[in-house]
Amino acid sequence: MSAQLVTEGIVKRFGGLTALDDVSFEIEAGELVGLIGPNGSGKTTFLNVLSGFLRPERGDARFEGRSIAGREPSELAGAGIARSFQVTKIFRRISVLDNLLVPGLTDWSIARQTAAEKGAAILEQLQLSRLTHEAAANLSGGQAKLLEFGRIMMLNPKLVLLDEPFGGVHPTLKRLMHDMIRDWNRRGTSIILISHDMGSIFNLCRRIVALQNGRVIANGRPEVVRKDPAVLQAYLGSCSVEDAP
Amino acid sequence: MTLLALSEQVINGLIIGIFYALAALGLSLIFGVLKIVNFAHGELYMLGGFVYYVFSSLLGLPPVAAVLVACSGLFVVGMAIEHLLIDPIHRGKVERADEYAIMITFGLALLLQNLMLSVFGPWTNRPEAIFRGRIEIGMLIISGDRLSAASLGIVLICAILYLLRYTWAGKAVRAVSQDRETAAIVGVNAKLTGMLAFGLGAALAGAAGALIGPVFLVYPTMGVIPVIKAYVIVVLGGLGSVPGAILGALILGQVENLATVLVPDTTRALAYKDAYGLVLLVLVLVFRPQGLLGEKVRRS
Amino acid sequence: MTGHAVSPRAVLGAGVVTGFAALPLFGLDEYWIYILTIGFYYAILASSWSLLVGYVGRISFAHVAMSGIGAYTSVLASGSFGWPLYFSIPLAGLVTGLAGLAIGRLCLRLHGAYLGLTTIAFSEIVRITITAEYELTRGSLGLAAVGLFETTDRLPYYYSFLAILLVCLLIMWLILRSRIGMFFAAIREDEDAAASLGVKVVRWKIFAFTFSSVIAGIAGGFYAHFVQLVAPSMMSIQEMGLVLSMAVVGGFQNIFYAALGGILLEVLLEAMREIGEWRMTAFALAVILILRYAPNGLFGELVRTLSTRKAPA
Repeated sequence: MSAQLVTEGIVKRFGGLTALDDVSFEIEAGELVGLIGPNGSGKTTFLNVLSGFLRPERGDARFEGRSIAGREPSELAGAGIARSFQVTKIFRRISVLDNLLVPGLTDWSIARQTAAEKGAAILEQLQLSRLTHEAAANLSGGQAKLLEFGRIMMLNPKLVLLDEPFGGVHPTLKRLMHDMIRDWNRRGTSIILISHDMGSIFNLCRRIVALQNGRVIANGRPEVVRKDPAVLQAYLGSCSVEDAP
Repeated sequence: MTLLALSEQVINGLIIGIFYALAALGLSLIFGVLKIVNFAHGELYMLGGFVYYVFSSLLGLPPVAAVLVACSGLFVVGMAIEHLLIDPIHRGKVERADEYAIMITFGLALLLQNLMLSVFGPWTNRPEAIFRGRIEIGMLIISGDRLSAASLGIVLICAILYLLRYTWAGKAVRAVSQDRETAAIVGVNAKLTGMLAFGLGAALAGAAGALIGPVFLVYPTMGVIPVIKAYVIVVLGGLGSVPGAILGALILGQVENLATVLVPDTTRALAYKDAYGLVLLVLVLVFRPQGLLGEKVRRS
Repeated sequence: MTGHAVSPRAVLGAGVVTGFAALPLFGLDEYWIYILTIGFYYAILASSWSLLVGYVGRISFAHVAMSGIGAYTSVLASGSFGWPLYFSIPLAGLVTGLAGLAIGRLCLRLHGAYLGLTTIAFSEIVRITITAEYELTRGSLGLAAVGLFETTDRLPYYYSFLAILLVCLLIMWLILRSRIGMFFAAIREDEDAAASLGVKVVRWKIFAFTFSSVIAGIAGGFYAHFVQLVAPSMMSIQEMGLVLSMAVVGGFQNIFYAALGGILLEVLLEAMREIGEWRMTAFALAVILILRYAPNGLFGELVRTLSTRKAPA
């Protein structure tokens, strides 16, 4: 069976800087893949290409057989690709529930009532129900991250791209986010997880892709990748890889 | 047309270009440091013209002194505006910073224009020139008031460039323009630098107004068209780029003069004169918003 | 949405509308009927502007230019071509809609100050062009237009404009409370996040610009055949400043407050006639103070204080 997401030779340049240099790999449906690499290795750039915010100079990406390189972000959301952002981008001046209604209502065949019920259920799951009508600006940083998760869930995506979701997050909240990620994955959602938090990466991911200077330097199971000399060198032998559980 | 007449046109264009450069520099400076487009810039220019008029013609100060009064007065006004209206943005007191900055400077423009209309009336005033008479260079005849004003303008431009490049204040300005947070971390007082930048920008605009006053007259709506020209220049050269602003100013000075002369139907050409710059502005904004030399415009 | 059968705001609104409808019957001066009619015109402009700026977050200074395009289209169509008004006014809407569509597309990637500058430039280009094409438009002298009604009586105009204002507000309100309104809010708050969630940002930005332009254009068309004279000054930056002041003073984040701001400022403009130029100075000062200290506008603050006082725990 062919892979759900296939990227071939993706090249992305910014002026003189080559951010992505011939990036190629595949993801099967339902995989939970970690994307690691030192700062500036191209992880977020790659995510931006996959979600339609950047157009690659060369190469192609195909999702469920259809080309996605250069398509608009809203189209890709409709095709089943959802993403989070490194800096949370919640809609601050509307309510928490309305934040969920926005993605819910992009499908015109779904009535407002139905979307609202689904939103309420998600808020229940996120333990945010008491904040339903609160302006999103009043949420704490952690609650905002959960809200972003909630928005993604409203879309019932097939592939979720998470960009550093655990940045500055309280351990209890992190555990909740881990549970949710595993839950999504159990239901068949594919996930690409960018993170510097090696603990989370090794905890959750069954495959890891490592980038350095825009190139794929490793692609395999966690136990193998963590010992890969190229990966260790990319991180300059930093403790974080060694200390992972 | 004769070479002589053409040379006169080119020199005129150059002189106009210098005035544009003064106004545009101020706009560029403000955008560079505070990241806002000052929609009230034309009115600061107009205020400079009126201060010059009041001090030179009504109070009898020597012209050069009156120009300096206009500069320093507008410097103080600029700092006050930054402190009262713009600084709140950086203190997080304003909800939608982008729209707020645009609307409040637009409101300021309306306020200043109508204030001066109320106080002075809509009539034009001709203040004292710095130097009257005509200057003859070989066969070329240039009016003394324009030349003297342009010369003083060049002095001011050089002074600002020197300030920006070699003084500590100038370095602070450049630092905050590039990265406000980092500049703050290394000890630059971003707030004071912001005030300084707006003050300097206003002073430059005021100087332009004071210098142009004797040449093109002083009246409350004198800032409306020139500020659009200043925008054209700054956008053409690249918002935030000082050499770009100067380059753009010189280009526009020539384009306008020559376009009017070279287009056959004179009455219509003259009526459309101001539109050429506007069309240029729209084209640049839509197709190359970073202008010729400016920083690339990045999305949120 | 809440459990109430009829919200207190709806009652207040109905009261205000009834008040305006009843005013002439209580012996309101002809002169003030005329002024209020102009106020209704500005209310349409202020509210449609606030839709674009307050709800979608797209700042535009081209709004009065759109009104002017509509006005001149209708006057030229009915004057030079002799079209009846029920053709020329919809044509005004169509032409303005096309202009709004074009500008909306052109400005897609522009934000904030760049967008503001482009729309100012567009507005001035339109005004200069109309002034320059003397043959067609008589330039600054302006064009005379036939009236909407045969009679010189002011009442039919008053009630027509009130009705048109209410229809415009109704249509805008219906759109804003639908999911389109949610998309507008999402675009305003964070375009990139909205796009990543499936909101067709391009489509709705263009729609918002076109829609608000059409409303301005149709308002301009009707206005032309009310005052029966159009001149380029109706598209000046001063006029745009007036409309902006009206929306900001009323409350530019709410179409109803902005509309009330339009009526209020027009009335004040007339009432303060003796102080001449100081009127606009006062309005401009009000704009600055309100933007800085009370961004919900006068009516926004009023409603807020009333509701916080009334609401039980």
